[in-house]
Amino acid sequence: MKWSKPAVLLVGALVIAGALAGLTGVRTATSQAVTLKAVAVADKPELNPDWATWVKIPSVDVQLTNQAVTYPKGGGTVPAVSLKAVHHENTLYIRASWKDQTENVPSIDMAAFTDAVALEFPGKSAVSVPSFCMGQPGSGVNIWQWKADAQAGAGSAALAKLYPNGYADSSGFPEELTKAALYQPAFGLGNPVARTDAAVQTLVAQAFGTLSAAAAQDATGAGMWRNGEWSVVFTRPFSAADGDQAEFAAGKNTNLAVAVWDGANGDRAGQKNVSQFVTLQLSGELVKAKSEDWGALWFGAILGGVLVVLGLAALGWAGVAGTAKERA
Amino acid sequence: MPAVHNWQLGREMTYRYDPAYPKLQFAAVFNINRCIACQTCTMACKSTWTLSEGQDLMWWNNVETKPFGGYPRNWDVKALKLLEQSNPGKQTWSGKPGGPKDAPYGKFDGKTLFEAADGDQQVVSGYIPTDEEWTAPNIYEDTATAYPKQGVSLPEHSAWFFYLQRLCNHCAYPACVAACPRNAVYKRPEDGIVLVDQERCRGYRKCVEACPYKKSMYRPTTRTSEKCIGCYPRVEGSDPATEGLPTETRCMSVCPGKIRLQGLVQIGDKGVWKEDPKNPLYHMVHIEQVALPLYPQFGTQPNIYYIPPRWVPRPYLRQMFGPGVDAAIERYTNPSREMLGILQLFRASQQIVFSYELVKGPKVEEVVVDGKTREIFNDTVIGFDSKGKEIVRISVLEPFVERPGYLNSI
Amino acid sequence: MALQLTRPVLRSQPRLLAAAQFLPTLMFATVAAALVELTLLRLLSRVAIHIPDVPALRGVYSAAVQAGTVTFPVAALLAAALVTVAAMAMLPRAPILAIPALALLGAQAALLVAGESALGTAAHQWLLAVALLAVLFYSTSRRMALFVAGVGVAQAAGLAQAASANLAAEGGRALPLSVAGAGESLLLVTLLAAPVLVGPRRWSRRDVIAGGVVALIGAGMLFGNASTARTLALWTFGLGMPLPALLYAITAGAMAATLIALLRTGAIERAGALTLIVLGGFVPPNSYQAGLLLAGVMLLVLEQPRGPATTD
Repeated sequence: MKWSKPAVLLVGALVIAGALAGLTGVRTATSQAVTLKAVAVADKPELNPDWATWVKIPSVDVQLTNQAVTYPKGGGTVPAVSLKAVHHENTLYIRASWKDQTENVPSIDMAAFTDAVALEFPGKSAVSVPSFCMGQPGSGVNIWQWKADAQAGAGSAALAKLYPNGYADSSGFPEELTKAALYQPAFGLGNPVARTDAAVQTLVAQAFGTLSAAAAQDATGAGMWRNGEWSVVFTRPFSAADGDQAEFAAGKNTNLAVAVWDGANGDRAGQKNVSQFVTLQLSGELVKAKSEDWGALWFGAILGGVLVVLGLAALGWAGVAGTAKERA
Repeated sequence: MPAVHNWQLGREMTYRYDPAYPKLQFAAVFNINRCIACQTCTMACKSTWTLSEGQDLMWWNNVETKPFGGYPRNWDVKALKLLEQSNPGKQTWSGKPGGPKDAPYGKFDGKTLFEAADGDQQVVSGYIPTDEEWTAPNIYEDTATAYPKQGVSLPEHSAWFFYLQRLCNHCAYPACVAACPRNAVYKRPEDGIVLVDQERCRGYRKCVEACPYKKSMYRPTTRTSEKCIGCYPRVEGSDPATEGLPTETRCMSVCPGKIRLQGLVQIGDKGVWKEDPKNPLYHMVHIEQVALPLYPQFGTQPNIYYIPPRWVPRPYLRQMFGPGVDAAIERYTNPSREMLGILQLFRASQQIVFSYELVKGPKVEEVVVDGKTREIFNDTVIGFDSKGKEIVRISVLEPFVERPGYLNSI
Repeated sequence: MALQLTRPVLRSQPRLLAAAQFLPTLMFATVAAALVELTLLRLLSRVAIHIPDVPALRGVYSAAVQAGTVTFPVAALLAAALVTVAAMAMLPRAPILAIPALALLGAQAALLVAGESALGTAAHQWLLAVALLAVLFYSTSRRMALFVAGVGVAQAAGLAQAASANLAAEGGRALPLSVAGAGESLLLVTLLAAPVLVGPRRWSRRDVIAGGVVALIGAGMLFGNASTARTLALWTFGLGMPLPALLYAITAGAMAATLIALLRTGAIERAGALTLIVLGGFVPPNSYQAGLLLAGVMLLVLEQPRGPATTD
């Protein structure tokens, strides 16, 4: 192999530039290694996808794929989810939005499924970046799942709304008894699926099939469907009340993966649209939310410049060579 | 996928998990010929387990009128259709009924619901019924097929209906257990009862989708699925009312028509019943082969066995209970002395009968059925509990008691 | 058709291509960086589930994955530079290939600046497909032409499907996934034929044994831990695996044998180009892997006799 000095210099320069880009989080390739930047904001965010400041926060589109690794496989109807993130007084806010032509908020329908979205983070005690497929033993994941039906308070209230003249006679048992844990076992056992007062469930997992309720249900959220698009905001303080959950700190990076369920497609369980882990970067400095990502612009300008220079150089070489040929 | 032996099909089949059999298995025999569809069983279950809000459309036990009724609507037609679509024209049996107990009905050559599934989105071919399908549990009650001008007569009525009593089959290879992606459904090693863990269930309804008998049901108020729990506190004797003795479930023990006998049978190698000729269920299922599984071709190896109704056209019954139907009806119509004795045990006790003994009595009658003469003996049958203690003694002829005359007070 | 059009790019006019002097060094650096990135990031970081829960081991593991995250942008920049230089070298004699390659780089820059969009990603995928097909016009031999055609058409099919899926988000209609499946099948067959199409003339027994060992390891992974192996095949190389797993293991063996045989016979440049094609994966999931794939295919046809461009 022939080594030329200019070539070695070029490679050296590229290695240094690449390493710098890697350390500063400047992107050098599209699609993979997406970084979601959570900027610190001065005003306390509202738990509302329509909060005015969200418009000014840059968004990151994350590609989703159908889940094809384990039973039950499925999904494939939601190609991407758009993410925004901010933090304020040691509390993280993440907004996810995605296109979905149908609003699926089943109340008591037994054959209908709800639209939902979940964020997945490495657990605090994870000794390494866990598998984005529900984590692994020793490196668990923390999942916040928002469900449209839970937000709508499906259950008893929906039942009463759907059948206003319906009456359950409790078969002679006192009514308070039939509403008790014994007669609502999932609720009585503290299964967060049965809760009617929270739209978001806080969960932990260490492998497929191990998803369980976290000891503290401290993630909250609110979602809204409008014009064929769901927007959901999640929030949780940087530190959780129990140790299995994710831990955040300003100036530190962690990972984030997203899953979206399309109720109209019968999505539930593993039948969902999934992303790989993207990087979640919590900026340290308090900045006003800005509308453009100057880092990427700056890098793009440099790359463009390099291209122009190289192009000119090639034309020059070609010209020189051409002259040489004529001379010959 | 692991291979398991399904004795009802007389062959190996694929299942999601390696075989693991319980020591004892919850099982029952229902004598369809005796049922009057009074729904006492249905109400006993409802008022015990599914009386609360959100369980409004939930009937763990139901009695439906065949061929038109069904809860949920057309559940069996839909399951059969899924099988037929996946294996058109080949859902057939070979061999002969009357075989050994690991293949008593011959061999099923078609596909089971496990074998018909894609394995990606479903490990059991199935569907989720809509609300409408759950709302009319007794639709087409007592609706018969068209009545012909010439009338009907045995052995097969051309105008017919019959009642089918249904609850969870606590299958040996439960579709619900296979379908749950998070192991929230499990089969108990002590009695084979299949339960949904209400703490782990996340309401995915994979079990509702998978169970061909549609006995896993979704409860929208807790957003979890629930199913028949086999009255396990009664079966294990932990319910105070049982005084510590294994007791039959609510639906079984209330039956006024005396059509039901429930028990626990011993399971041996490959999930085949252990030799136990003195267990009344073993005797009916394996020795007489008079009681047959419901839709064995589904492949779940269900544990409720039915004595088929003897007036119903055989092709319908063969589809529903497999190739053993003709022999079963023949044996029920001409019962052996053992069989006639065992039939007396139905509902003679609330406690589970683990074994029986027949004490022979004198010939008391000759009757002519279908042109054949049959002898009736007044044998006495004794039922024993799990510890071999006698719990019931009853004879074929009801004791005739002449009541002394008295004046009517009205 | 492609065969009739084949003509050497460089042999006739080596002195034209001053940019070509950058190629060997850049290729070596890119292959090295991409291999490190592949090992640390694309493979190791995804198999944490199989790392024993020993603190020391986990520490090493975390450090390795961190190193992989830093290697990624280095490899990405090198790949972009490699494509740029290869395109420059080809511009005068092979504009049909060089122009889409340069346009692809422009699209990558635009995507980096403006952020991903369905439209932009689709455009990128189409440009890559066009560039890969353009290589067909410049193959130096009949066998090479067959190989390049196999890779190009296979990838183009997959890319067309992926681009249509991206456009579906804008209201278009996605091609069926079977198009991508057909592409993957063609790619597999092409790579399986690599020993014949792009391998050396003379083989040694050691090459075949090495290939056999790799095939056995591949088969062991695919049959021993199918779900992890398939996840890796999908996320790392974009392989959905519609064909029998055994075929993939044999293909891995065939490629390994070819690479080893090429290295043994001194055909380092061809080995490097083939490695880049493998590292690019099927339907590259990002601009970096797209660069690897395109550079690999371009370098394959840029192959030249020893000591080029320095005769005067």
